[in-house]
Amino acid sequence: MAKTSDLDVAYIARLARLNLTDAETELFQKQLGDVLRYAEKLREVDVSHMEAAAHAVPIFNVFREDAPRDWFTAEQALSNAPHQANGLFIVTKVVE
Amino acid sequence: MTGKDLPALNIADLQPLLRRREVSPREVIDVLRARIQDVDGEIDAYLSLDFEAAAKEAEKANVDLPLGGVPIAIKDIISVAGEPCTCASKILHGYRAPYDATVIRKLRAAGAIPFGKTNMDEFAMGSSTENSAMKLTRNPWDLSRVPGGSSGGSAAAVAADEAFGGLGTDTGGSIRQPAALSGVVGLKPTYGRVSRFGVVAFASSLDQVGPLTKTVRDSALIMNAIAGHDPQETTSLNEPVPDYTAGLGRDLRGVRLGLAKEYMIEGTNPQVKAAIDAAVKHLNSLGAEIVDVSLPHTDYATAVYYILATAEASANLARFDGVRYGYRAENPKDLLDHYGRTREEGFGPFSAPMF
Repeated sequence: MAKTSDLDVAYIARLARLNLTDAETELFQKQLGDVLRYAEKLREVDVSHMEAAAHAVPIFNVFREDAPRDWFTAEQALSNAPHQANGLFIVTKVVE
Repeated sequence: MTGKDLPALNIADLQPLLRRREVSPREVIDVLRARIQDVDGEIDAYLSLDFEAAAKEAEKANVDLPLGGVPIAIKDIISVAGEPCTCASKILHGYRAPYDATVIRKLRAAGAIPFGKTNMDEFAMGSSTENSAMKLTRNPWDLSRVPGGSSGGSAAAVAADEAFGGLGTDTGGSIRQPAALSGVVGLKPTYGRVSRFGVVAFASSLDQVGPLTKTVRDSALIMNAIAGHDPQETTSLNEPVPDYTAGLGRDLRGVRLGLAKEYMIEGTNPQVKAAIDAAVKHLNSLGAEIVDVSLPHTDYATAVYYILATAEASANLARFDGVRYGYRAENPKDLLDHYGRTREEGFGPFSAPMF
């Protein structure tokens, strides 16, 4: 079990692509520490006799027909894009 | 009854007036609009209103449908085609929903008219509606108090007669708690009963859409409209939907209700305790048997909630990347700067730690 002090919030924020101020880093260090303590608390509970459940209701593997249907036009899909041109999303440069 | 009194009606009492053609759906929209203009400056329940679209709907409304001509307020996390859907976050400022959520499609099929989007805690994370990036909503009973949250806008709108009924969403209490704080009826339906298609996800294993209304009967009427299987939502239950009004007006003989002893703990507010005691007495008088039960894992519920809700929110909010929709930071110097500043500038202080 990781200790709160082992949490590298700055590293997690980099992975999540979040910019944090020093004050936020300190605050989230504490808040994430609380979540870790919650995980620790759950170890008190004996669940060895319980069957693991991944879903609140017994629904498994919901498939649909792989068939075309009327849905978005490209124009509609682009209608909320912050930057677009020629029917395409403009993204920030990812190659040199 | 004059037009001015109409907004105070509940849905079930408004409907006979509509069906006897004593009032038209268009008149209902107009008096509601006047009521909102009168009081929403103080309550601030709404983030956006579209009376032009609502009036058009009203002109062709079929009042004989189950909710024919009844205007319904919609939490701003549920997609209504062509309308803003901000989730009370700057990151969705300017976004317009390109389609109707299934619950909206079903409400429309039942004749209801969406006309406005209500305030909430940003991305439904909060329990007072103070975490909205847009504005503060006041409790209509006491403007110095919060209406609860996260569906606080819908709860306040219904309580202040600015809506005949509303939709909210509930992940960890976000319908039930604002309903309690604002003195209206709120229901979190059983998971899977109501489709979330077109509803912005917070914690997908817990989120449900449900009604906020003035009466239990109205709650049943809205449930009759929105419940049911949706092929576009894989977690929705493929089970027959009962008529939720069928159980109304009966006594409670033969009904056994459990009262968990873990819910009555040291520090429970005496007024809350008194209200529960009064409810027990009332339910007893209606014939229900109240039994003491124990839910020994109650103490772990908060821990499980915070672990699951934060993990699921992290996955669900990762889609806000400033590419396909929503806010995007100006002139990013590279891709990391694009993501980092888009989220720094777009997300409020409460949703950021959810990552």
